[in-house]
Amino acid sequence: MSVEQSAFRLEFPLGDTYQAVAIANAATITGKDALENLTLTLDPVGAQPVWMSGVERFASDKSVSALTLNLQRVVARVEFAPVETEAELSAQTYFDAINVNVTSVADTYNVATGTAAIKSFDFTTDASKGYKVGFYTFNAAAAEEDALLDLAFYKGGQQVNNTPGALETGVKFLSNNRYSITVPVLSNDFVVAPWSTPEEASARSASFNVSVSPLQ
Amino acid sequence: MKYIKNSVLALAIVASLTACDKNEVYETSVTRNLEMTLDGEPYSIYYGTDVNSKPLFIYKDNGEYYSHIGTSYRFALPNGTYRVFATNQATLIKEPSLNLNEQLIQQDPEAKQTFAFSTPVYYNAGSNLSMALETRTGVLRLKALDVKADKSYNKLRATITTPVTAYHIGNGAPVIGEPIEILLETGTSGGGIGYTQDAVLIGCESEKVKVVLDYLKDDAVVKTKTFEQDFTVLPNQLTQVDFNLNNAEEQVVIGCTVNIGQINWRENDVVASVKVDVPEGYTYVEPSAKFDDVYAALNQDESVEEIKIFLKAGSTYTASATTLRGITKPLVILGQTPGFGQSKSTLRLQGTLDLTDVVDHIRFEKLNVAPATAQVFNIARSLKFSLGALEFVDCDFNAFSGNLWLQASSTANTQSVGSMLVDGCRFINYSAPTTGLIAPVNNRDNAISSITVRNSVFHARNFGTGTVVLGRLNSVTSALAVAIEGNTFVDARGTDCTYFNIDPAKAASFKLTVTDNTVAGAKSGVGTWFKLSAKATDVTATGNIRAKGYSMKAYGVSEPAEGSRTYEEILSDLNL
Repeated sequence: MSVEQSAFRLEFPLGDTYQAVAIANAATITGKDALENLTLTLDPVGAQPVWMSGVERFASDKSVSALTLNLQRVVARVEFAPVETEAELSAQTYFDAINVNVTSVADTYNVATGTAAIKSFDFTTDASKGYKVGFYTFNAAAAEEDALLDLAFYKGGQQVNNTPGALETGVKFLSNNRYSITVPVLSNDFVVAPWSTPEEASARSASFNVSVSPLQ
Repeated sequence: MKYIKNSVLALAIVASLTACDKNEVYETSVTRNLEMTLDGEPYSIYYGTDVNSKPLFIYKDNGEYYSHIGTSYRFALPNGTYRVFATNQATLIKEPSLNLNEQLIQQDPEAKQTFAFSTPVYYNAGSNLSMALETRTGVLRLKALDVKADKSYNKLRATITTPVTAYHIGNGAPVIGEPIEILLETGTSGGGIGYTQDAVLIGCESEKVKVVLDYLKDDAVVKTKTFEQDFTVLPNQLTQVDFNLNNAEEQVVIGCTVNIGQINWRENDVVASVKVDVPEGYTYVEPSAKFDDVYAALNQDESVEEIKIFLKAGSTYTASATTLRGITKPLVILGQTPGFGQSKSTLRLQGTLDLTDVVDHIRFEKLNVAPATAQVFNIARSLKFSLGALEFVDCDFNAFSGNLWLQASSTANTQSVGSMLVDGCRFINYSAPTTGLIAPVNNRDNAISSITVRNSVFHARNFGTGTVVLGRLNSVTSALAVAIEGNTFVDARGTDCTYFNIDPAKAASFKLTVTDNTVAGAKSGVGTWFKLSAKATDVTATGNIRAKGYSMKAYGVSEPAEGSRTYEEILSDLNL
């Protein structure tokens, strides 16, 4: 059932046992016929954060007259951004779109068992989004390994470069955590085919001034 | 229903006779035949020692009490007519001496007491006596059939109103009077499920009892149920009333509140890093694992012929004091190529290193080496070994103040090295011991075939006044080639040191090449680059440069050309 307010009264026949769970902001809820089938689905990119309470058991034998359901976020928020500034990204001409493949993302969640289906997702971003990606995922604690990123760089629709193997994040996406992941997309260390030659790279690298005086 | 007492064998006591006038003569008769039944079944007499073992009560015709006896023996009565009854609950008769017409058994206020009485009969002494005991009480049972619990109450009180106040023994009939109330309470924790209440009441065919049920929560009445019909309780019968305590159709209202829990996200900043790609054949040591354990396991494993260890960039590992002593297997320790923002993997050496027997190669690559001692390799005089290659490649040494390789004087021809290589290493803030970075044994014959120092940086904290990089070659007996190529030497302190002190006195042959190096220093006019003995004849020096405006006291090889970068520029390019 849907409710509009946070406080409401429900009537139950005497003497039965019930389980209740409150869910907010889930894109799709399926399997409402039985608690064991109840599954939430979200669209990682388009979603709002999904909130859910624990499953509360109660009996309508007048031993309880009030029921409280506390909502918690059951999603993690992940935001990917390049290390480089907007100016540097607009100035470069190596690529105009990035496809970010992220493993250990969950878009469905079974309420009764608390398990999420772990998948990989592709997100595409370009200059209009500042080459950033933001998405939600259900708790991915059950993933076998930490989340990995794979970047593929495109120019004019053609793939021009990619990361040498997956990048490690060292984390699994857990509920109620927000992850800001940064990757230096213009760094030669992070791509298979170097963007620039070493001379160009050193011309850009910082120089330090050191003043030396003899030790007394 | 029958109530049959357990009988205990004991002898009953014979009755006592009342006193009589001495002058009268009474004739007595003995009862010959006594028969007792209870609810139609033969009654087994209780042979105890208490009152209940004497079930027989004898009254005179006018109701006056005569005696109260047991029945195991024949008893004698004076001739006459008597009124006699028997009961299985003789203890209930508190005052047997009361006139029979006044003997009553009250309704038990707790509704538990059952009893059977025979209706008093007229009896002539001596004749057969037959007593038919009948149970005079019945049971009213209230039984709830609910399967659904209602926990709004935790106790039930049944109030039974009955007009049957007592049982009249003399009349053998119940006494009807002003109705009395019997209260029976039972707790219920299951919301009424399984509630059963029995009440033992004096049976009566003509009268009915009323029942009212109170539901109590913590002794306060929350609800009342009145049974609409009244019930008849017959002697020796069970009247069962099935009913529902709880109204299964009732709707229970529960107030629900939905609250929002923790509002704030937990923030995590993640810098993605290139995955640790462990090269084939290498054993990876996780940052959390112990270097000592991994090395020891590989060293002890007989199937492992070459120890190849891979360390993660940016992480620090520690080799304990004796871990790398007595190296016998070829050893390669390789650090991961640092990614963005990462430094080389650090290997702390708590003790010095040495080797024994034949070792093909020992190689350190892509590491930040942090020795805690004044030597990396400190070779004792007693060691015997033949090392194929010693290599330090792309390693950093910060603020090191010792020897990379120090050989103490040994027995002649027991220690040999094929090649030594220092390639792409940086010695920053180096304090040279007087023996120099590489110091072979100099007073016993030994063999070294080649020493190559290339593409490395030597930056002084204090190069001192002794040897800086290489010396003590005067006891090398093999053919020896020394190549110094593409290095940068920066004496930031400006001392009168000697970078290379080479005297190949015993070498079978000797060749030195010095190419494309850069020398710079804070102070001109001090320091010797190469000090070569007369034996060093085959020397090639090309492409070497000195800092603009800088010159050394002596070069030992052809003077390096003055370059375009000053000492300060060379120093700043090192990005220290």
